[in-house]
This record gives sequence, structure tokens and C-alpha cells, in this order.
Amino acid sequence: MTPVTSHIGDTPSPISPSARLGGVMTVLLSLTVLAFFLALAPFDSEQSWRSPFALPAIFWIPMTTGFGSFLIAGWVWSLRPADLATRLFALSGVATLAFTFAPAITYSTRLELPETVSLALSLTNSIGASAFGIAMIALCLVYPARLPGLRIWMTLNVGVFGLATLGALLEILPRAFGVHLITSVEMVCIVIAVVGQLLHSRRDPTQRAIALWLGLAILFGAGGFIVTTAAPSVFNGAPLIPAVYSFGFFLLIYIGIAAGLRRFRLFELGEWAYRVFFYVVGSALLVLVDITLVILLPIGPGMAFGAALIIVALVYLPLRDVFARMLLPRPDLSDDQVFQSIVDVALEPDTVRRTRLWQGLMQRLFKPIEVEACSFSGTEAVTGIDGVELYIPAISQLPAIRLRYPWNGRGLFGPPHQRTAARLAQLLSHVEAGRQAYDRGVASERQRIARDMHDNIGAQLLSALHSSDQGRKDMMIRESLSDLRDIINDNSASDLSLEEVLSDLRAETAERCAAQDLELGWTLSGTDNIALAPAASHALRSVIREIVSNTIKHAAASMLDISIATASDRLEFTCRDNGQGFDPATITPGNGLDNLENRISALGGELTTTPSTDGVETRGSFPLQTPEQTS
Amino acid sequence: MTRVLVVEDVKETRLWLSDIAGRAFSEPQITEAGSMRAGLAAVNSKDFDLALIDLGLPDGSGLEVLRNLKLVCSEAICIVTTVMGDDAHIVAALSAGADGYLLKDTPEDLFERQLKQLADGTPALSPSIARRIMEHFRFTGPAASPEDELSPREREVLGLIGRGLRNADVAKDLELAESTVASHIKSIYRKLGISSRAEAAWHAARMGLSTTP
Repeated sequence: MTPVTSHIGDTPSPISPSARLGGVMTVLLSLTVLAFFLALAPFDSEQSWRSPFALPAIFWIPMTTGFGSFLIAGWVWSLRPADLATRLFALSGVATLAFTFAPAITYSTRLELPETVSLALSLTNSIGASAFGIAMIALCLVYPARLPGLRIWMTLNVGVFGLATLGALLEILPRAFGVHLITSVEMVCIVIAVVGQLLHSRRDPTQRAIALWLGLAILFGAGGFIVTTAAPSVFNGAPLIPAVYSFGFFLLIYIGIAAGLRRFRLFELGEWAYRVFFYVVGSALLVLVDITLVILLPIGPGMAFGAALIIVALVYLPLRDVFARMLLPRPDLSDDQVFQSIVDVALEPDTVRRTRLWQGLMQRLFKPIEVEACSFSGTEAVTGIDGVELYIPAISQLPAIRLRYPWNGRGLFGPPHQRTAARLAQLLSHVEAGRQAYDRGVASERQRIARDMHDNIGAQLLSALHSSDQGRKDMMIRESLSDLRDIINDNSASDLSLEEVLSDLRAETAERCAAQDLELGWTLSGTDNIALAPAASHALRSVIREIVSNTIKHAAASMLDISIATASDRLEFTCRDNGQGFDPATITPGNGLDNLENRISALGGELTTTPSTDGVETRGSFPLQTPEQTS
Repeated sequence: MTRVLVVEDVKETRLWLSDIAGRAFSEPQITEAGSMRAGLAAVNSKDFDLALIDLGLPDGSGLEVLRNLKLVCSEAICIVTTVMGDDAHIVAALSAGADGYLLKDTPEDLFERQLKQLADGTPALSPSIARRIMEHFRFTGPAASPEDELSPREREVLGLIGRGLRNADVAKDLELAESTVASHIKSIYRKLGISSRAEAAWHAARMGLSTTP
């Protein structure tokens, strides 16, 4: 069931499809010009050049058939030269050219052909006709699917028909075995092979469609020829239509196949096949028009030459330019568009879409016939097979790409293209790196928020939940909210000075004290640019808040002094009020004081509260580098 | 009589705010709104002397209500009430003409005190907002004219507030009357609005949205 095209034709040849098609056209046009010359030229003094319109149908019909068939077959082959099916198709085209041009020349030229040439032309016709059948049978045996027992059928096909043709030509075989019989049998075999393909592909809709289309084209062409011409001739009857018209049936086959290329992706070809065709044929047309003009314009001395020049300059050249532009488009992307696209690629979050965008950019930039991911492992863009291929390295998660046949197969990759690709790949990886750095920044910010949330807010809300004292509950919820604010505003960011980190606490404390007519002294001394770990600043703030609350509630003081001093490795703070103090004996364990001590000792520090008759002094200190922070 | 508008989507908080406003002012006439739409409708229906406006409302931003109120009744004192105190949003609100802001987790007595001060026209700034405003003037937009830039005194005031000093402490530190500090802060608010508008216009002109910068 495997289509033949998938395993042959993977190694591209160094010549581009357009170049091959150009070669095909050169051969075809040369032969055509030769045929026209032989048909039109005068070969003795009494003759003059004939008008092409005076040529008989026996010239025009085979010529058209041969020309069209060879062109279409050569076109398909030039796009996929390494494919067995397209090679057989091309072979059939060559055979058609042989069996059409030979009689066209024989019956139209006024030259007395030497015996040997006549014989050669006749043999060419016969061999061509038979070879056409052999090639078509072979094609129908391998395409769209290789039929079972291919080897045997192929050998039988080539062997039997080859030997039969040889025998008929050398007149070894009886007279009845004329070439007409052989070709008729071949046509029947083609029909059988087509039926075989249809049966074989009944489970595969795609292949069935191809087999059907190919089969219809061949059946109409070959079948029409058998019914109208070959069969009557075998039975010694007169052809149903004049023999000369029966050549047209063969052209039908080729036109049918050309029409199905895009619709059914015959020979795995798509729309681009037409683009290559129009490009090459368009170029050839332009050259022909140029030549015609040179021949027709009266390039002679004097006025005529001047007039011709003016016509060429004012009318023809601009028109030619317009046509050239229409036929040979090679639009370039502006730098802006390219850079915009690169940024789009880099910022697209979805990998699949990003890959598609990147390949799409390459497609727009170089218009290659093939763009596909490959396993290229280099780090620089390189060209391969003399410029047929361009390899783009893999960039972060984007796979490496292989581009083949740039500009729809009309050009090759050169050093400038390689450089462009390399530069774009580099640019993309820069932008990608930027995006990744940004992603990392987002991730680390998220981590910071999660850590701060977990360290402070979770614990506080939990203790609020489990606290039975309404006042404490409120205080802890407030604390959580204020921690949340800190996290959102990133107040513990390292670029803030200690004074700034503590400024909100200072303002808040001052506000609370002012509300109670309590005079606040706030001193901050020591090293200023010390980074306080979030846990430390939260603990410090909560401890000072609680001390201030205690002073306001219990001390009946008129003055509160808070001083915070930092050395390189420790933070010390002292809170002293001038209130009534308290008796340590009356304090029950598990109250706020314990809580204060716990928070400070969690930082690896200590806290002592010294009540006396003229006020309470609370001293605390903790290392700035907490164990957790150094890790 | 004080006509008070409370725009707040959380019901308990709305009641709490109305309750405090009821105690802070004599014979207050309180209108409550639970959404931006209700707030806008209230603004359109009558005049207010004071508004407490939450920024994050379910159907939009309280800034809309604030702008509308300032438009129809420029004398109204607009106070942004927030719990998260997201600096950027508060600065935006001050630029849009807010006269101050209050944190909703402040203990009740303190909140009432601050509310009264703001209603009296004594503005207050928290240290982090002061720092944010300084940053705003340092980094954003070109000033339309030199008099719209902060004066050295205003910078000093902002700097001290940013370090945690209250208005009274700033006044003491700079040997000024407290009312002078208050008028400096009001002037800072005003310039913040001007500079934000100028910046917006500058951006708009740059993007071809308007012809006059």
C-alpha cells in the first residue's frame, strides 16, 4: 500500500526544478523548431517558404500531441526527478514525442528523405508507440500503489512487449503481429492495470481517488484510441475516425493528469507545481517575444531603426517589465516585518504555534517548496547540496528546519541567504533568551510572594483563628493585612534602606501614640544600608506593635522611647516607657510577653523585659543573618 | 450637615464605614453604594461633601466614581479607602484628584481620627506612598512648566514623610507650622495630578492620538 513516492525521491538533485523544466523546454523547442523548419523550408529552387497555415492536419495534430505530452510529462518529472512513477511518466512522454513527431515530419516535409532516414523515422514511430504502452503499463503497476507481484508483471510487460515489438520490426513474427496489434494489446493491459489499481486501493480513499483520476485519463485516451483506430485496424477494418485525429487521444491523457495534479496531489505535487510551470513557461514566452520582435522590427538604417528603438523603449520595455513582474514575483519582506515576526515568534507562549510561526517566517522569506523539521544538529545555518537546501539550527524548543528549493524552485540558497538565516536565528535566540529571563523573573517573583505568604500570613491567620481573645484576633488579622500590603508593594525589597523599611511602622506607631497623647521618641542608628530579611522585619514590626499596645493599654505612660540600632551583624532594639510598670509575679504564662520572646527567639535572638516602678524596658536583639537566609 | 457617600462592595465593611462616618460627623446624611454603577448613580442624583470610595469594585473601578464626583462637585472631599494599599493604585487615585486615602484595617478609633483630619482638609501621606510619589516625579513624564515641578521644600516634606515622620514631626523638623506642611502636601497632590495629565497627554501626542501635547 505504500505509495512509491515516499521512499524514492528523498535525495534532491543539485539542479532546481525550474532548471530541469528549462532543460526539458529547450529540448522540446529545439525539436519543434527543427520540425517546423523541415515542414516549411524550401528544398529546391522552385520552392519558396511555406506558410504555416498551409501545413496539413497530419502535421498539426501529432505535433500538438507530442509537444503537449512531452511538456507535461517533462514538467512532472522535473519537479520530482528521482521518483520511479514520474520517471515512467516522463518516459511515456518521450515515447509520445517519438511516435508523433516522426510521422508529422515524414508526411509534411517537402524534402526527399533518404531511405535510411525514412526507415529511421518509421522505426521511431513504431518503437515510440510500443514504448508508450510499456511505460504506461509500468506506471499503472507502480502508481499510486505498487501492485503485488510487481516484479513479475514488470518483467512480463517489458519482456513480452519489447520482444514482440522487436520481432514485428525485424519481420520475424508473422505479418499479423503488426505494431498496431501490439499497441492494442498494450492498451488492454493498461486498462487491466488500472482496474488492478482500483481494486488494490479500495480501502484507501486518497489512493483510490488518484487511481480513479489517473485511470479515467488513461482510459479515455488509450481506450478512445483502441476503439476508434487500433481495433478496427487489427481486424482490417477502416478506422472510425480519420487516423490522424486519433493522436489527439494521447494528449487527453496528459491534460487529464496535469489537471489532477493539484486536486488529487498526483505524484505528490501540489499547487506549487503550477507556479513552477508558469514561471518557466512565462520566461520562455518572454524570450520568444523578444526574438520575434528582433526579427519583425525593421532594424535597418535611418528612420525605421529610430522608430523601432522608440517603440521598444516606450512601449515594449515597460510592458515587458509589467509582465515579468506578474510572471516572476519575488516579493521581499521589509526588515520591519521580519523583526516584528521574530518578536511574534519569540513571545508566542504555545510551542506548537511558535514552531508554526517560525517556519511560516522562513516560508515567507525564502519561499521554499519544502519546509520541514529535521534533526540537523549544527548551531549555524548552513546550505546543502550546492544551495538546494538550507538548514536552520534548532533554537531552544524550536526544532531545526530544513528548507528545500527556495523561491518555488526557481533559485538556490547562496551565502547571503545563509547569512540572513543565521542572523535571524541569532536574533530569535536573543529575543528568546530575553523572554526566558523574563519568565524566570516572573517565577522568582512568584516564589517570593509564595514564601512571604507562607512564612507570615499563613501562620498569623492560623493563630488568629485559634485565638479566643477578640482583641488578639483583631490584631493578628490586621497584622496579616499589613503583611499582605508589604508583599504586594514589595516593601522588603533590598533597595530600600532600613529606615525606609521601618518607616511605615514608625508612622503607624507615631499615629497610635499621638491618639493617646503619648510622646514618641524614635531613634534609628548604626549602619543604614542593611538588608533586613522579610521574616525579621515582620517579626520586628509585630513585636514593636505589641509592645506599643501594652504600653498604651497598661502603662499609663506619657512617653515612649524606641531605639533601634544596627551593627554589621546584629540588630538591637530597646523600648522604654515612663509608666507604672508591672509586677512580674502577676503575669500569667502564655500571655503576650511569651509570644514576643518566641518571635525573637525564632530569629535566633533574645528578648528581655525589665519592669520597674518608673516604667518598663524591653530589650531585644537578633542576628541579621538568620540561618535560613545564609543557606 | 455633612452629606457622605460610601462606595464599598463588602457589606460588613460598608456598614463599618458608615458607622464610623456617622460618629465622626454631626448629623451626617449617608448614602451607601455597593458597586461602581450604584456609585455613579448616586453621584448623578445629588451633591456630596465627602466620599469614601473603594477602588476595586466588582463592576469597575472606584476611580470612575471619584472622577465623576470631582467633575460634578469639585468641592467634595474624596477619600480612597483601601485594604491592600497597592501603592500604584493609590498614586493613580491621588493623581485623579483624591484628597487622601485610608486603610480599612486601621483600628476603628484611629480610622475615625484620620477621617476627621482629612475631612478638615488636613491631608496625610504614608511613607511608602510618599516614596512612590517621589519616584513618579523622578522618572515619569516631562513637566509642562517649571512651576509644575516639585519645589525643594515639597521634596523635603516628601522625603521626611517617606522616612516615617508624621505631619507634625515634619513641621517640627523643618520648623514650619503644621498647616504649612498640609498645604505643601496639597500642592504635591495637585502637581501629581498635573504631571499625570501632562504625561498622559504627552503619551497621547506621541502615539498620534492628539495634536496638542
